[in-house]
Amino acid sequence: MRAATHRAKCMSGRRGDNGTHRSSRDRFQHAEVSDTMDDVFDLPPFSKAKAEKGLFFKAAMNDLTQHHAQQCSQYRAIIDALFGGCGPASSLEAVPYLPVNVFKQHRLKSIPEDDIFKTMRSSGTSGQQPSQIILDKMTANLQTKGLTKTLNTVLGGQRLPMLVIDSREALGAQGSFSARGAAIRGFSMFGRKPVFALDENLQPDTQTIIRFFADNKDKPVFVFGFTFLIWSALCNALSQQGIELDMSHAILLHGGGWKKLTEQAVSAKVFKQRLNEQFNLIRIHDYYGMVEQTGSIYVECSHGHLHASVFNDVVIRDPLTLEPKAVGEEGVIQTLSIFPRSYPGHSLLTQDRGVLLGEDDCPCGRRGKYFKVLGRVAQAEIRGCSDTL
Amino acid sequence: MTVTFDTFSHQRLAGADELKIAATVPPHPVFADAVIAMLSALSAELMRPDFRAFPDIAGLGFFCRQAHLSIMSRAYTGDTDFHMGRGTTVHYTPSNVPLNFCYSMIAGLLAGNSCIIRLSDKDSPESGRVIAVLDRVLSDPAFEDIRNRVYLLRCAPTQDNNDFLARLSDVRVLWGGDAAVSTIRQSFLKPHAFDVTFPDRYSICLVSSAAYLEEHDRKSIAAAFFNDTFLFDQNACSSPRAVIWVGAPQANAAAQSAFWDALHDIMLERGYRCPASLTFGKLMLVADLAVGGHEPEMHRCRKTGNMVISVNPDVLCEPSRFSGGGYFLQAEIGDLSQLPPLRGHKLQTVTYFGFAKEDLVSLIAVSPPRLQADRLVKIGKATAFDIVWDGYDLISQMSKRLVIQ
Repeated sequence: MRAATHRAKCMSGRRGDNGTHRSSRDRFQHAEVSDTMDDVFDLPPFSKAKAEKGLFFKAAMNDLTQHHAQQCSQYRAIIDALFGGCGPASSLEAVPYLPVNVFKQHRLKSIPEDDIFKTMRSSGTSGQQPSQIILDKMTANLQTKGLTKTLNTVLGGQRLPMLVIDSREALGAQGSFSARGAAIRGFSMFGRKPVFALDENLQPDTQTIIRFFADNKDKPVFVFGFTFLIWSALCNALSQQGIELDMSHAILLHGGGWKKLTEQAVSAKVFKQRLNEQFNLIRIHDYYGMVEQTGSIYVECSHGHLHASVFNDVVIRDPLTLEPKAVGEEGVIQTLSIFPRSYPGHSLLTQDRGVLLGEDDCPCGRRGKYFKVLGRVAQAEIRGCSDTL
Repeated sequence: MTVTFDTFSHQRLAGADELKIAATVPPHPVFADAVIAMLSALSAELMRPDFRAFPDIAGLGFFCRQAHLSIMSRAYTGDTDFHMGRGTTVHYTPSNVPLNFCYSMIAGLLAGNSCIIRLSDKDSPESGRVIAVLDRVLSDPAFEDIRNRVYLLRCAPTQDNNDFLARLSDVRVLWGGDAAVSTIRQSFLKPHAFDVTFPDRYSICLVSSAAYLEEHDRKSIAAAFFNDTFLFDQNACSSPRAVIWVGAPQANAAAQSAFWDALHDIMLERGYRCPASLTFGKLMLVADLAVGGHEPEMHRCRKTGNMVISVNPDVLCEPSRFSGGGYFLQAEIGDLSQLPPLRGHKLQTVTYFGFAKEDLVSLIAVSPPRLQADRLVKIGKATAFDIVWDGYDLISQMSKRLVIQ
């Protein structure tokens, strides 16, 4: 009857922190993890196989759970309620998690008010409460370093000329954050002199686009944008206008989800094939990420698989029982990241469906888990007495 | 644009040939013989073996059998008063309690009215079958008169359509909760007409722990509680959303454990699983309770997805904390005098086990009342439709009592 775990509630020794309870073991854990934090950026992001990654990643997660339980009373209360306590997890699958929407409803932080460096807000779908993510300098730095390390594996470590498949207006005013604006800002760090390819009506600014590729003829360039806009505003609009482009030297990074394209029956395969045929574009990378774990993105490899790195990991769970799923079984995605220290977002249950494809054995050579995102959890019809209209 | 009979875009499902016929029938006396005859014929059809797989349909057939209608009629026809229908009733009914439309229609007909029933867009296996049977029964020439008092339809939920239906109504019956009621009420009725409304409600269950622990047939209780809740995904207004355990702490703990185990066994036996799409929202509600400082303790059945959340009794005073889809708040009190003050208009049904009726009546019949509910029924009776619902005697509401001196 009792919830999942029988770990001791973390009530004991939490208040006062009188030193007697913080055993040498705790301190050892802290030391170990902060060493790891420095070391982890020296590692190639996709270099660790299961046995090695498992140990260090689990230790990092347990450290973060402990850290947030001590620093954020709301986090501790939620984990106590959902998991019966916040003691160390014996496996990655046993790491407690928050439903990601808590950041839409509550302002959770594990740092004093004075240490706030910036607050990220993002409204995923219009009309929804935005998430509030509170960052200190350290966490913001970790995010940037992690994102850099991850993206270098596809961008090659140099700042390439960048074309953003979006309008400048999508950035919004300073201080206002949309998911699109935040992503464009974040990824623009990795390009040189970003050029915006769309006008304010999200129609292609053909002259700008043609000039961009002429200026950078036969040179590698970085093209970034939202999956749906790349399809509608680049593929469709340019072919209607009969404009041909050679993007054989471009590296395309796109994200934001497949909902709209799935509605139009455009699969990832069709998407890639079209870009390939229309623009000679070969290097195409989807990514999966969210504002609640900024910097901790999962990038698609040349075999079409999203990869966890040394910075992050996923667990696929049954949507009803919440038990972990095996390779090949669909479920909801739990996403874990070693970066969130200023807010308790290191382990989050999403409303995205996904399937684990394997671990350490992707033909692309990357180590770690690889998976696929299948869309949002459908809101099934339930009975009741309220669907009159 | 003002909608008229000629321009009203809708789909006819059953009843009179034209809406205009049903909308212009004069009122009749309550419990008219012809109505009872038609409903008896409908009952016979619905109780045929074909529908045994649909407990809702069989239940509806049982409800409108002649014997039951005769007993019901005594309350309105036995005195020297004369009860008469009010004219045209327009009913807005939901589809996710699939047969609600039919109960609403039966009440309207028995009360002496013609009934225009708007069904929501979604079809269900049950409603489709019942509509077909109803249309067939009504097509019997013997029931032509009744057929002309019934019109089942679907139409878009636009203000223009609602305005049109409002102009036809002498009584408008609004099922479907706060949002539906508020929307439809923007279409004004004629001066003499009025609404019978069924807004958002919730229900709870009261269990005497000592009585439960003495009970040998716990499986039957679990089955009864299952029927109260999971036939409608614990999402009908009459489905309990919280369970209050009354007794000594030890007895409460033992009773809870046995009760939920037995419920989960029944769920597994019947192959019922909670709607997986609600899991995330249920976790969010627990998180909200935790952030609010309520120290909830969640017990989650991993096989069925059912969640039971132990909280302090005070939490039950906040209906926003409730959810359906396999999410029960539970609280413990020593005796009934410690019941949290569940007042206001939101509490509909209290199902109970192990109490004498008088114990509960004493909670209501004090000033101020300790408990404000519209129904007190034994576990297992929560979803059984009664002609008195949400505190309304539907026959009285939809008819008028004449004074003849």
